[in-house]
Amino acid sequence: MIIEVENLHKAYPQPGSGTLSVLAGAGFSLAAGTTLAITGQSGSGKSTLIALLAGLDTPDSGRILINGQDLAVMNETRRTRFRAEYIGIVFQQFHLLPHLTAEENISLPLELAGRHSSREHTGRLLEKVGLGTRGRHLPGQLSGGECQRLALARALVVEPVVLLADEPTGNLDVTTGREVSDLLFELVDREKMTMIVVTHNPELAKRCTMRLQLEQGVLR
Amino acid sequence: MPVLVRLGWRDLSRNRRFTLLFILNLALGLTGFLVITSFGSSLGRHLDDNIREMLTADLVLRSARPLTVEEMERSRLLAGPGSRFSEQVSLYTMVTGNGVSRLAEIVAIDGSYPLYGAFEYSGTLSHIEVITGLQQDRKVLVHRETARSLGLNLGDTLAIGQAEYEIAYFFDRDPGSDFTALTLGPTIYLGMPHLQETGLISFGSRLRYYLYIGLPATADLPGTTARITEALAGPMVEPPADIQVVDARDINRNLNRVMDYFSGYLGLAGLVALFLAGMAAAYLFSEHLRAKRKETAVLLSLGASHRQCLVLYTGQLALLGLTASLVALVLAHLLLPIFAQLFAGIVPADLQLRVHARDAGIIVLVGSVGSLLFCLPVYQRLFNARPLHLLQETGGGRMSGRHETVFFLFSLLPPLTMLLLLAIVASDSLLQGTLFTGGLVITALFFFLAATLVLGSSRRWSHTSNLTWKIVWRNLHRNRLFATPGFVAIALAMLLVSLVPQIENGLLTEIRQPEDIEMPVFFLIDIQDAQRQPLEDFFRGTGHELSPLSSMIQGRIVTVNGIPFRQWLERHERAEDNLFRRTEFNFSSRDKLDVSETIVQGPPLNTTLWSPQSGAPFEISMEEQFSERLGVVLGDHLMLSIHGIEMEGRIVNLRAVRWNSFQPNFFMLLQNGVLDEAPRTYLASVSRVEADRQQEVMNQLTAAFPNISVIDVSRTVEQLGAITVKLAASLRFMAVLAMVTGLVAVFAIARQEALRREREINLLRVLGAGPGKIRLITMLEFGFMGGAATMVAIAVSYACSHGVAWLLFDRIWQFDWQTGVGMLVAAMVVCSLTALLASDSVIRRRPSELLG
Repeated sequence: MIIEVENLHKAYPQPGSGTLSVLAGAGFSLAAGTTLAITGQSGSGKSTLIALLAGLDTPDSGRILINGQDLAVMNETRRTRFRAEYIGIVFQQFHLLPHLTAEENISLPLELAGRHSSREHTGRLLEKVGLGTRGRHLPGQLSGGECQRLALARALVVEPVVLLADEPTGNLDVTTGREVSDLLFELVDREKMTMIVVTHNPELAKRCTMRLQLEQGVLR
Repeated sequence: MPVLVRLGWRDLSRNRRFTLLFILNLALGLTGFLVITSFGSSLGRHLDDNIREMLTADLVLRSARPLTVEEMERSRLLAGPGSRFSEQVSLYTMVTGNGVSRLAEIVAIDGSYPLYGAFEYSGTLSHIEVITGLQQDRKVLVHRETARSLGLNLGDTLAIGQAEYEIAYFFDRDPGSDFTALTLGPTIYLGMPHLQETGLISFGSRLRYYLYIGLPATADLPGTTARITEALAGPMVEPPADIQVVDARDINRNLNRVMDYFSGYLGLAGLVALFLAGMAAAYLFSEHLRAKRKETAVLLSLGASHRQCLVLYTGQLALLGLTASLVALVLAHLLLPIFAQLFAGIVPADLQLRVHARDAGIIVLVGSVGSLLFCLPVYQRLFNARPLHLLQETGGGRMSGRHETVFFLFSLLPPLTMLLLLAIVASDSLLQGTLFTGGLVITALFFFLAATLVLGSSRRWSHTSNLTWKIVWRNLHRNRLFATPGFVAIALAMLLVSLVPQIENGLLTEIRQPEDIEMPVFFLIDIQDAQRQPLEDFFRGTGHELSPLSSMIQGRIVTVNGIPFRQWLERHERAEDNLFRRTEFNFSSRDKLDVSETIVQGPPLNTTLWSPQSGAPFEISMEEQFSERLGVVLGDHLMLSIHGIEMEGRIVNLRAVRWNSFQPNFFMLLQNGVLDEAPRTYLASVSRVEADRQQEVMNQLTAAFPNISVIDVSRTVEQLGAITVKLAASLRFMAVLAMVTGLVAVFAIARQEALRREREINLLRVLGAGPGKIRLITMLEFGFMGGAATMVAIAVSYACSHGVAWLLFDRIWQFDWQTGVGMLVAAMVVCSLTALLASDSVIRRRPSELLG
């Protein structure tokens, strides 16, 4: 199994006293090369789960094993290093750096990790996501769909073991959303990656090999 | 690391407004500080390099009596082989030429003068030619302007005392005249052999005798000075000594003390500008980090560590600070010539004002490291940036409130320490620097409480039927957490901005205009006993008013509480009053106090005549500041020597004296009867002389009483006024700089506040409010915030300026309500307009665009 999540608990303190329990014993396993869709109502804890899987936050209890390494016991520095090496993230809002060109946005994760980034490599990725001629453009000069393609290329540049996507089509119209999801699944399939998608979109969820619904803090 | 450099650089280039505002703001603050430190350094170096030329010797012996042959020989012997000597005698007296009289300083020089430095003569005169001419004939050397004021030219004659002298030579500049901006009269040089012929060397003449000594290059100056001082105060002349031995170090210290008074004030004004700049910089950077929170989260989600983000923003800050320092260096370079003009006539004419490498280094350090320290408290924004924020449905993850507070409080320590150090350096005083910094911290806390109170109360005022005001009050209340730092910053800026002109105003008022005292026109000195009645007769019936004559007798303090005076001084005299070590003073007696003096401690002097036979000490009234310098208090006993007779007195009261009243005043007044038997001269002042008759009255006075020196008070006040204007200009220069920096700070704060509320403005537009309404709401909101903050600031500034003036400027303070009202109006207008300007682009956009 490439991902093993066991008995995950996470609660947030609330104003005044008391806490809000978001995850209450969630768990699942995922084999390499599979895709998982996590659905659920707003506020059900989908994004919290993906934040824990990405090492952006720590669980109150439970285990998160990715590629055999437990994220729950790592300190922040190790989690950051782990994320930079094994995980790619695609956000709903793209979150591109507006003052960097498309090429520079793509090579940024590599450079932050101190790894070499060649123009050929970024060029190939741009070609893969259909932005071969847009390398020198700033995000402000790209459409919403193009921005999400660019964000996808940025997530893939480190050749991650796991790709995490948080509502990747949520900010796009239906047609563009479909194009982006086509690209997403095509690339995941071609690169033999494992992907977890958090989504409200039933069409997108259907295309995944596994589907789980988050209800009252547990996955069903 | 190159990726961080690229990210930082791109970010700064893209946010040009922030970058330029940050640099401009910090550069202005740094410029003020740099100009002051450069001024101080340049002056210090000039004094160090030229002090011998100013003193015209390595060391000088000066006394009110001629040095004895034995004293001369001993001094020459101790100076050692290879030393050079020059004797000089000077006195103030009236000179008359072409029927016009005026007071002048007569300086009799020998053939060796000056030992260092040189006269600059008009034309092609050689020094040998002039100095020989003065020794051989009855000739004088004067400044061309002096001759012109008396209507004389080369070859004309000038009457000094009983003799007439030919004006034979003109000089453009005499040695040692660098710091003589305020003089009682022009200097006239004559040869030593011809001084006696004036007939002015008699009882009552106020002569000063000098022996200038030039030591060989290898001589030990401090050692020689100490040996000569010891020898002259030793067995030959039992204490107290009446010969002062001063060397270049004393003059340097004294000149520095004089300049420190103003450079200290200017330094603090400069620090005010720097503090404002630092405050605005921190605010700007805080908003920059807030705006960068999302980008920081993206970087973190892409694998950047917090350390890398820290390096990124710290690098940006250092680069901005460094650039601001470089801009400040350029600005200071451009402003220093203006500063030199402001101080022209007060500082040496050939003083080269420039930015020295050390000062430039300090300013670069303050600019780059200082901006980091100032912005340290806002770094928590960086730690608040979490990649969690990028995901949908997650909102937690902020630093806990307690940690945030602890971090904020601790991060205030480094900038406060830097501020404290700079304040100590600027004021050259640990006490003043600490008070300045402590005062700022306490005031900031006070403003925080005031902001909480004012903004908290705005909810109560929102119960109004007027929709505009309702929105204004509700906005202020709802945004009070964001508005509080803005309120505090504006209040601090306005406090500091209003503080500078207030202190300046108080200082200038005191220098220029003594209250309730009629300024005399002439001040008469050296009046002989026999001339009292004729002088009173001279003025009777003229309409001019002659003040009561004050007797004046020179004497010495022998002991204080039984301790020899010199030893007492070594124990008690304040270090900065080093040059005050004189032992001869003028004493007087008077039946009632002058209007310019007030008893501040103790009862009035006993009006009964004191008799030596009574066995009790006589009563002494001492000037308050003089007593502080000497370290004596009420009840202390002083043994005085007056014309060789020693008598013991007791200090019974302390007086505050308004010296700038130009009335005859003395450090020590003695009980009636003490001075009755001693030979004395008298002082008096003359008032109510019409401006067009002053020269005529002076001429008549000099003709009737040639030995009486007449000081033209109006001319002296004019000179003082000219110096005051120059000093005032330099003070205003710094005040204006502080104000400009303060306004930039207000602009930056208001702009950021307006940008922060962009969404609220958008929402109002969407809900149907017209641009006019939104503009009005914005203006009222920021106008109120600026006005309320400024009102609190002004109230505090009156209290602060009173305190600062009391501490630094001998309690000089002037209530100035006009400045306060001006500041209030200006702050409201600036805050309103700035907010309007900042939000204008948002207001002008179409609501549909805002929705998109």
